[in-house]
Amino acid sequence: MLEMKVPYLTAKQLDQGTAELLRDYGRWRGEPVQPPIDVDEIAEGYLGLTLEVGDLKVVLGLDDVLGATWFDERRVRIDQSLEDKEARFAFTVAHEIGHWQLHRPLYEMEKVTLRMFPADAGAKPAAAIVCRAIERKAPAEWQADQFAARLLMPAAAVRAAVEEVAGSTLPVWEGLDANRRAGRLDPRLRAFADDVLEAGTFVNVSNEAMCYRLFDLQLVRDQANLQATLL
Amino acid sequence: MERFGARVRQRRQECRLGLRDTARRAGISATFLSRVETDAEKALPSEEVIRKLAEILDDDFDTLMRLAGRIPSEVKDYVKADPGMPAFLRRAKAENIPAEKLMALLDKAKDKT
Repeated sequence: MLEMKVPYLTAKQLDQGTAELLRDYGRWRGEPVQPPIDVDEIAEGYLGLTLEVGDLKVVLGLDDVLGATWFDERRVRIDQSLEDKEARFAFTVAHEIGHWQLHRPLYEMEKVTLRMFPADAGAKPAAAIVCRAIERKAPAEWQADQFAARLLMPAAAVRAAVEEVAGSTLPVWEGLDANRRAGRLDPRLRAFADDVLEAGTFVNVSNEAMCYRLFDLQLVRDQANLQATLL
Repeated sequence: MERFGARVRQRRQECRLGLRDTARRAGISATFLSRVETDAEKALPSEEVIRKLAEILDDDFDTLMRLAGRIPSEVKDYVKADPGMPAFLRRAKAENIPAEKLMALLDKAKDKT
């Protein structure tokens, strides 16, 4: 397991990274990519990674692992506890794809340094990235989450779905930010996210993930915030 | 020797089929299929599942059954039904007659009738 220091990435760089991957994957498929984004196919088919589902608690000896990527073996393993949770499974695969796209080049560079201090002969390849459920998000994990959200919910597709649901007037609600600060997702936002999920056929995305994507894309706004902007 | 799991994974990749998609179509869990592919599973799929996999992966059922160390149930039933079959098969084995030759003999016999 490697502790990886990653450089800061802007939202624009993350947008470009996911857009590029979706475009190239679309070329490989021979058709433009539309939600639901088949992240299994991106991982296995387009990127040529081996996708496995297994008991990561046994494999890694850790209690709360959702996914792990072995860069050297081109292998992604998802914990079997997610098998029947479509949205969480897809997000975890998308997250691991994020590591592969964003952090593998850094790992390759680190390996050059590590070769100066080789591991014991015959040692099993270590998981380069292990993603746990209850850990404070390290920068690499945060970036992979952001990448996953963009991959599963491309901005243009979300905007189109929002327009279908709300027309050209974006929802503005009072108390939206206060709820978010209190760690709650506003019930009006949740209901709106459900409509967007359905309109955009985001069948492998959770309501919670869509709520945060709507915030990030500023497609829902707080009344107070809007007034401040107008002033 | 070729392994059952490796063969399934190879065919799946050649057919551009995902792990979860294949598992769903075969009526098994992705966890089980993944364990089969990586040789982590001791109990290989049932004949019914292997038949579905052969269909989904456009592969030869008999080959998959052989790699899984299984004998198709209709063959078993045939051997069980005819009291002379065990002796016949034992003799074919003792005289080292391969299936190809037995097939040729059957074809020859059919031509004569």
